[in-house]
Amino acid sequence: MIVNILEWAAWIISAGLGGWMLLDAFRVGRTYDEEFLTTSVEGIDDLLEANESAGGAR
Amino acid sequence: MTDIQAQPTRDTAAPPAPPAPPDERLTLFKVLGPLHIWGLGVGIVLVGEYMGWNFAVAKGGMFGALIALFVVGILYTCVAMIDSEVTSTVAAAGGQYTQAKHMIGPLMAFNVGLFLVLEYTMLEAADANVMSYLATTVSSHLGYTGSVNQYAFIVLAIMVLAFLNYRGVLATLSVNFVITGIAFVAIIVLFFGVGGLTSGSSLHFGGLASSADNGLPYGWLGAFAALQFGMWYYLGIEGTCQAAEECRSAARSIPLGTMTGIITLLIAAGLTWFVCAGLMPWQYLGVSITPLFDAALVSGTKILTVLLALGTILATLASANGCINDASRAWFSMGRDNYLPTWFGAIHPRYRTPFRSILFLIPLGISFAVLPVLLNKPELLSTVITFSILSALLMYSFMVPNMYRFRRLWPVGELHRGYTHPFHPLPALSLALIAALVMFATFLGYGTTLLTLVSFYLLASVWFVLFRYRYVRRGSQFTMPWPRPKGY
Repeated sequence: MIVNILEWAAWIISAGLGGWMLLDAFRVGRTYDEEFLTTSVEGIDDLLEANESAGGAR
Repeated sequence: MTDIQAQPTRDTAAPPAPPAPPDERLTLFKVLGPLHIWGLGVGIVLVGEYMGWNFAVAKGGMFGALIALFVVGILYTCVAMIDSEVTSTVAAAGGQYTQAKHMIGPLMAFNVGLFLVLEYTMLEAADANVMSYLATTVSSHLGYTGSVNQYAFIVLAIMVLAFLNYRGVLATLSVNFVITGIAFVAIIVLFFGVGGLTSGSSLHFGGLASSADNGLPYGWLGAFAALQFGMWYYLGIEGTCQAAEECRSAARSIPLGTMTGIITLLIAAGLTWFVCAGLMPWQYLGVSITPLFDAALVSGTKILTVLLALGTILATLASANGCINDASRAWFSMGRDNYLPTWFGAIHPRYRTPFRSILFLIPLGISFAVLPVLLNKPELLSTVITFSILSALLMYSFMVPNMYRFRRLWPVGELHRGYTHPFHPLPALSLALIAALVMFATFLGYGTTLLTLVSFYLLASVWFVLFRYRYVRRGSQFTMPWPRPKGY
């Protein structure tokens, strides 16, 4: 009996989390400009910044 | 251009901000330190100590598994050293994919990206499948005699971890650090609990060395075959590189987290072999599903049994959690560079995670996790795992020319590194040799799987060249301020 309850709870929690993520992703897509969401570039690190200030450029 | 990384919106209760002006740039949060990197790398792998490595015992006996532990340990030490050096200069998500992009070219990068996504997604699927098995085992230990719906727990495990990943990397990897730490401490407690350092302990090794039949039941050929499952001791430590873009300092965190990670795994692997070899006969150990838990059961100590059961569950969770993190970063990076539709290269404006990549890979993980249950073929789990191992091996093969080119194009001294590995080119050569050996050993056992996988990558490469390559912006994908490569 308790296993049945746990199984149903697992399905309900999974559906809730999945639904929330889908809804949130949809809302973000509607609220923000696509160009803005995809503006990231490769990261910058302190060592790389030091290298750049020393004259490094590709 | 303004980087709004400097002013993150951490208040989750705040209403969504209006569309940002076009001169602002979204970045992943730089919030991780060496402990998170350790938690990511060791977290992905440690499940291999709790289950999986012992199939090497079935192939080669206890000494075969010990030889695999050492030989494959050398392979992964080389992987950790090479990754630590290269990634300490590449503060970018994508790890080895990004290395391939910079060092070799788009087609290699596309393949390495796919190797990464498949390696981690297949591992995540196997973890979720094992979690459902653990749920069944726990319910039977509690006296439940009916059947447990495994689908429910497979889907739950993946959805909860995907949700955690969706909401932010700091919480995701902080959780991974804690649960991985508990799982690692459980192995140490087991070692001391069974008297690993005391005379008159419950460990017995007499039979192991008395005749070759006990230690090497199938001779040296068996020891060679055991190499394939020796991968389980360490498979996934290279996943630390995926978090480079989210480190406060990749140059410091990646080498520290990765090198301490491989040291942790070497210790964990040694302790695991020692305890299991001393407590169980090789014939049983070779087919056990949860060898460390079984070792705790054999010890007869209730607290050890509970601790190792907890460790098994936590290690499985940590592995799946880290795999979702890594697969999504690799997929995201490929989207960002137009190797895949740019849509996947989006970052969540509040949580700063690659949310679309995380969402997209959920059905893939669930599909492969439920496949063995759906077709009622539990042996398919080993095929799913072999997909992961072979994808990893293909990637390690790429790391050898990658390392050579890296040192040739940017010699030590010309590009500042957070870590410079010693004895180059010995680690790269050792990696090439051992990876070839393990690949051949895997081919002997899973030749069809290897050919299927290679065919898939070949077809994917054809698709990339014909339909996707034209979208790759070869110039704009390099944004790091590296010096000009030598000879260019």
